[in-house]
Amino acid sequence: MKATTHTEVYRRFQGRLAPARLRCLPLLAAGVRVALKRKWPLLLYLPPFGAMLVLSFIVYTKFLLEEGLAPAVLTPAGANPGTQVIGSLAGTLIEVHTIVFWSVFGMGQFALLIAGWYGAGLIAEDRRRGAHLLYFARPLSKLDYLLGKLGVVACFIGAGVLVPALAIALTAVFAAPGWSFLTEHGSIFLDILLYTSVHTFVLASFMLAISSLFKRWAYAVVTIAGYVLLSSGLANLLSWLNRDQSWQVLSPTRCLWRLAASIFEVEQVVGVRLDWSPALAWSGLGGVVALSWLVLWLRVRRMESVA
Amino acid sequence: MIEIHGLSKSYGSVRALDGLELTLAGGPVGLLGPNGAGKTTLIKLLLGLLEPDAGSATIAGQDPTTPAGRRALRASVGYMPESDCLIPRMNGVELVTTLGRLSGLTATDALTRAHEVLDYVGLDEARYRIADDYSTGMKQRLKLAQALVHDPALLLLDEPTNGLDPKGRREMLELVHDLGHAQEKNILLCSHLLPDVEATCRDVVVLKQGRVTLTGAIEELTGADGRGFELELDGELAPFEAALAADGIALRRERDGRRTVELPAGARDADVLFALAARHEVRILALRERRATLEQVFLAGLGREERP
Repeated sequence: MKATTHTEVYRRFQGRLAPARLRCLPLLAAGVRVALKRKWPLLLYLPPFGAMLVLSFIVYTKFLLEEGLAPAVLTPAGANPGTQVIGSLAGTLIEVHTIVFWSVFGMGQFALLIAGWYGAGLIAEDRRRGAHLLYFARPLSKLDYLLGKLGVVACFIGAGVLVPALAIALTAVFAAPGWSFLTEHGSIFLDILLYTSVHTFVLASFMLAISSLFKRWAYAVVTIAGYVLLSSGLANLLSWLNRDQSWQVLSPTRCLWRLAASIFEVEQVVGVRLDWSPALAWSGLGGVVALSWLVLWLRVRRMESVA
Repeated sequence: MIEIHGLSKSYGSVRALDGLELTLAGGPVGLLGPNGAGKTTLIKLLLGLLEPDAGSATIAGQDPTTPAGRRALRASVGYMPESDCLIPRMNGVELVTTLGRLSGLTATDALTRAHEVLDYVGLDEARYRIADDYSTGMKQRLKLAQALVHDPALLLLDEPTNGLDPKGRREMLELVHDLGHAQEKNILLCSHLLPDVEATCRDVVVLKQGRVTLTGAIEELTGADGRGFELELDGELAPFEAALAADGIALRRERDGRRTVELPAGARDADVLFALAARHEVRILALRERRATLEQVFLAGLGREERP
């Protein structure tokens, strides 16, 4: 039997529905697929990946010079009698930890743009288009919904921060003679994973929380940009007025800088001293995450009941 | 299928549902009521999207107030919301597949089912277009397709013909009728359009101010009571009309020109009409038992006077 106005019959589903576990994964996969439909925003990844190539080459060169060899591009005329001196200088001046720090620091700025582009509309657009009406009529919990959305933005932030840092560290591993970098500085991989995980989680949570407050992507982006600029400005102003760097805790981006400096053992960056308490930075970031998830929970609970 | 006992829900001082008692065995059921009667609140409570203030509601024994019950219940219910709802930048197939996955289908099953239900609702090649660009009729069909993707036991359809042109409306009603009758799906159809309910449903529930005022099979509610008749007459009617009046029977002329009579309580059959007609040389060309319209039933359910 079929509807008289239609040509196809209704077919019954003969299989079985799976129990409701990890429903965030289909949501994550669908979110990434939809985000990748627009190709030109991927240009946001050009600077991080360009920088990754340059920094990886510097690391590669450092280890060659340390071994007394010189890449052809540095010695076009052939053997260079000064390679021993240059190698010694390279070993002293170029620290892989510092380069990885500069990588995560630099990529962190792009990560903000990436998170803004890919994350600001994730919940806002769902609300505007009424997608939550469809989601919450399914066996999908609020936590699954949030994890699915968090996963989407985390994938894009992670690709911009984690991949370049890992590539640089892997270059060091393969360029260093006899796996010496891995045996002596292998913990850098844990440092990278720790920092990028925290960075990604904080940024993604914050981005989603802002996104849940609006119904339009553009409003969320403007709010995020405004908050980052204002909090950084305020943190700088209060630090300068009070001559106390602890006020930097007011800015989530400064907290992330401080965390990176602590993990990769760097003391200052672009003229900003990063010698204030790392515990304070952890507290600041914890506060941002707690507030973000509180906002998210309340907003998503409201979305579900409005659905 | 649906058991509701003492269900109450208030929004501040507004009482949306007031101790609702209702049992629905299954099949296609129309949920009628004026704005603010509590229809949408009832659907939200059935889906577990709202917490009741008091009472209970279960679908196939599943309680929507517990997380496990809610998950089980939502897997067996397909919901077609009234308002516009799309997942941004997805085409028809992607949208239905994604929602199928969220309902518990595997990736392969979800894709297969998406194509099957999109075929069924008549979204042919349009399924590969971004749904944001669909017409209203196509969006309604897409909403029905996503509600069907996991082959639910119960369909909650909220104003499925909203915004459709006459052709689209007819097609949607045909689909709902097919699902409710040929496919034997349990359907709860919320609508304020009585012809939609009459065309697709077997039973009807009328809500007013959060309470059930009328429930039953449409066939029975609109059925003949053996006392009302429609007549087609030929001859001089004045003496016949006077004779009827003397026997306590009023011959009425309706707006559409039909003549109707209502026999007094206790009258056994329509023989009295034939006897009087023969005596006054009036020929009865046709005699039909009069049936109430769903509109009359609905208005009676709301406790308002029937229209003349």
